[in-house]
Amino acid sequence: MSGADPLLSVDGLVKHFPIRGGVLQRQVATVRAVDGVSFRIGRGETLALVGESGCGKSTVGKTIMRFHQPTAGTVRFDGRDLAAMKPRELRAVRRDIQFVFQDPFASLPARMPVGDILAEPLEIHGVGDRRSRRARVVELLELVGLGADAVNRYPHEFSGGQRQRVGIARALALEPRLLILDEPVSALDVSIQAQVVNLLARLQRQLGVAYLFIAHDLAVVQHLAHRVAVMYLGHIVEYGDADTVFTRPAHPYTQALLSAVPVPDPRLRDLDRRILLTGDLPSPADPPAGCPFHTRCWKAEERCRAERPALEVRTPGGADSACHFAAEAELTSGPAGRTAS
Amino acid sequence: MTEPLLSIENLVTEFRVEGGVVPAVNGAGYHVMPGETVGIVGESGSGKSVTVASVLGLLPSSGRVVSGTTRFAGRDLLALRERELEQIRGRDIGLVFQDPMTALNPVMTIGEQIAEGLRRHQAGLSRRAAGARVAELLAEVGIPSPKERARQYPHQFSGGMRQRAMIAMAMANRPRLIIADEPTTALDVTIQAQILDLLRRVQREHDAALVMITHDLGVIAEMTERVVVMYAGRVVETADVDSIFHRPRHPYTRGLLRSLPRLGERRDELPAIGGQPPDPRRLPDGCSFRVRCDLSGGRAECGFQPALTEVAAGHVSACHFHAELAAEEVA
Amino acid sequence: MTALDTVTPPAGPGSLSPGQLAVRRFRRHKVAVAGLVLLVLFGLAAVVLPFFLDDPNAVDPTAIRQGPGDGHLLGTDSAGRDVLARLAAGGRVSLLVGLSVAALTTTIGLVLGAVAGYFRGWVDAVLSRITDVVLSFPTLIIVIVVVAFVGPSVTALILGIGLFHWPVAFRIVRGLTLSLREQDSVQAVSGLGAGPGRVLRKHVVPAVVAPLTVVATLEVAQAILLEAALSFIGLGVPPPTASWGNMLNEAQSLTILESMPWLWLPPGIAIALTVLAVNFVGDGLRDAADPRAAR
Repeated sequence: MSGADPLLSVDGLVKHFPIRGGVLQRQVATVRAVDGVSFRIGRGETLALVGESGCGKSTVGKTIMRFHQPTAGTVRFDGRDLAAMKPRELRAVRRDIQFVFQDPFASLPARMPVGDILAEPLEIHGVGDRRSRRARVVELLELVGLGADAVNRYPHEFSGGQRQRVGIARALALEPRLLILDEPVSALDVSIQAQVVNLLARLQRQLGVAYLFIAHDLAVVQHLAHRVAVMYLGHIVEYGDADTVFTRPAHPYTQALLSAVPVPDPRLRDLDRRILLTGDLPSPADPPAGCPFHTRCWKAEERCRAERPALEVRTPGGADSACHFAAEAELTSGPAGRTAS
Repeated sequence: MTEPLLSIENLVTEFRVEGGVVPAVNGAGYHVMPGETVGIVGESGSGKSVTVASVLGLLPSSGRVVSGTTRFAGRDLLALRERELEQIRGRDIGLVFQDPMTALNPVMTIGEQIAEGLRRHQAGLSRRAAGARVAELLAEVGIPSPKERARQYPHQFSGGMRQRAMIAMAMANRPRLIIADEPTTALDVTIQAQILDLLRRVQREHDAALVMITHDLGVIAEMTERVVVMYAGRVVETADVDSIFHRPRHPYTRGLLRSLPRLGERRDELPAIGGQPPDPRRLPDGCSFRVRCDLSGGRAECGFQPALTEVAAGHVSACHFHAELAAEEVA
Repeated sequence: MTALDTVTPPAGPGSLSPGQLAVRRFRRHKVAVAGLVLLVLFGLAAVVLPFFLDDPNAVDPTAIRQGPGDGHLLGTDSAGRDVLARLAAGGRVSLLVGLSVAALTTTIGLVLGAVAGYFRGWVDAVLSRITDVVLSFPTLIIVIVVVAFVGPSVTALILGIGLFHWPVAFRIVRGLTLSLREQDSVQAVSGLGAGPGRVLRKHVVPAVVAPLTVVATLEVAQAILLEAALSFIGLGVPPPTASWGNMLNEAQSLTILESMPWLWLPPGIAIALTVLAVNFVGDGLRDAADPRAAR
């Protein structure tokens, strides 16, 4: 899918946040939230950006949206650089790129009935007249599995899952070609997560919209993603086809991450397949030199402390990985076959 | 047969809200044997946390236990005075919460807080002895350079380290029961793995019973021996962990398990449970799950609240049609 | 997906807009409702009563400083004017000053605060510094100077207080806007492609109006008190126009203070009650705007 003409191509994206301190509010440090990230998304495909909190995955999504101003790098959408656009041009591009927030409670305006919330993007871009907008709103509600009677209700009257459907409907109102989904199911109840995951899969089949799916739940990601980028401390450490990354991960961090996911089957719990990482995530304000993962890696050697490994193909037929000692661990499909590395 | 360490029966708890009273727990009950690990699963509105808060006297001021009996080590907890409950909490029952930041005092050092808990319940423990014990506890929960870390404040700890400190605090007085309410929900998976590992270890070493309250079925499968499934303020199924995961006898349990995305298997569509989580303000009459149930099919029986019935040894289910689930499995 | 997915919770009495819910919370606040009733009564009295009473400025040299009684319900003042008539007319002035100042200060504060908070950067820096400068002037002295230049009048009073009292509203709106613009719900709207105008108009302003009404009530109360203070020292509403403040002015004489309470007690009580009622209403509004504060 990373062929000739991607829908979105991100190159060398950097986002640093200054930390200010002291009486004069001088910059005292820099949080390297995103530190040189590159990836592509093809039309109609899903790229998942996974990693733990603080790895910078959400910042990537918000910087593409220009909620944050990128520090460096380019973000080409359909060949045009979003990072360099003026606000006015950017507003026009919004029709093609939309965003769904994690928290369905905080991301909808509380004072507006759902009908107005869904009509707002149409109003902003001057799509249709009052009547055709009303019709479109009902169509959108049906598209995401809500009844037309939701139009006059306020967000506080809905459950979390229903609100997230409203958020998705709003994002789809302008028929975007790319949807950036920032942890869209992690605030939802287990029984509701599956509904929304199914909805997202159906919408992609139906509308051909591409997803940048930002998530930490690997099992959910596996259900939706065509390709996966694993982030750690502002860098992509593994990048490739979802099946490859999930069954034959080459980077030790990916291996640890996958092995740490609790398996919902008590018969598999004593298999001792788990790689227990020691220590915590280093602060992105003071990232380690060399490979960002070396402070927690069981393979780390002197070289890892000095030299940052590039993200490239390191195993035959495998995903791109950024590890000097990349070696695939077989995590074959079917939970029974999962083994220790 | 040995006596249960903790038993809860027919607990009813409600909350005062604007314009009325909302039931949060509608006659829930379960028991925990000494040394046993029990998982309590449920979604929002299931009452899994409110049940425990009721028992421990930790309800917010708008909450009230209406009826029910609870016994811990032979004592009726609901009849105890606040002071006596305080004695039990922190000494006989250790608590681990989802967000340690709300449970820890931000202006006291970690060491002071653990020492305070020690000295409150162990009269005559000298300051020096308490300090030594604190360092020992912090080392036990895997906090490096414990003497130095004891002098730090909660905000200087990472999320995982705070949860370790919380566990140290819960273990300080060698409790017979640890209650952990979503202890790893706020943590990343690699840190979650560390904390679960730690909880397992301290439980084994102290020979304490452990109640794990969580919505994460993966955590339940990895950690527990017996599982209590709650829905809309009631227990709908209880069994040993293997039966719950492989022979569920309640359509809600079965639905949850089916809808779960699993690593290593990719399905086109997840068989989701329909509908929305129960809204305690408008529970349907009869079986609360019937509006979302794929087994009910609108049958008249579901208009009546099903009783918990034993479907196998140690396995109870509150479904009129649990036999159909068993039959389907054989087929 | 099952059919259950399309089921939304039943509408009905539970289906209220956030605005309606706020009204319900306000109505539950008994003291605030009492305050509101009192204010409405005062307002009605100030508007309606003068049509039925004597001319408040009509001097009657034959009936000077008469105690309450026949013909003059609350007696007469040193110029023989009817105290009740002057009280009602003065109420007009006091409420006019209070409401105008509140409208002026909150409008200035809302516009500048929203702009500063939304655009941040140099816009915010400039506006915030101007605010600091304005705040550093003592209002009373400023108004005295203004009045000294343009002469005392109700307009001068309103402008004098209003143009130097907006920083409170500004600071609150600016702070709220700064945090609002980072909130998902506002970011989401920018993400839809809305420009700053729309974001401010439809999403920032409605969100700050509720807390701003609380500030507005404080401004009403303060303006009424300031008017009274200025008129008391003879720099507010110029005679013969009645205002609660210049009615009090008479009480500067010790004889009146000691033996003619009907001259100063009514305006004093009116001021105290009005300010108290306004503050109660402000309290109720604050609780109504913030559901967590309501018990």
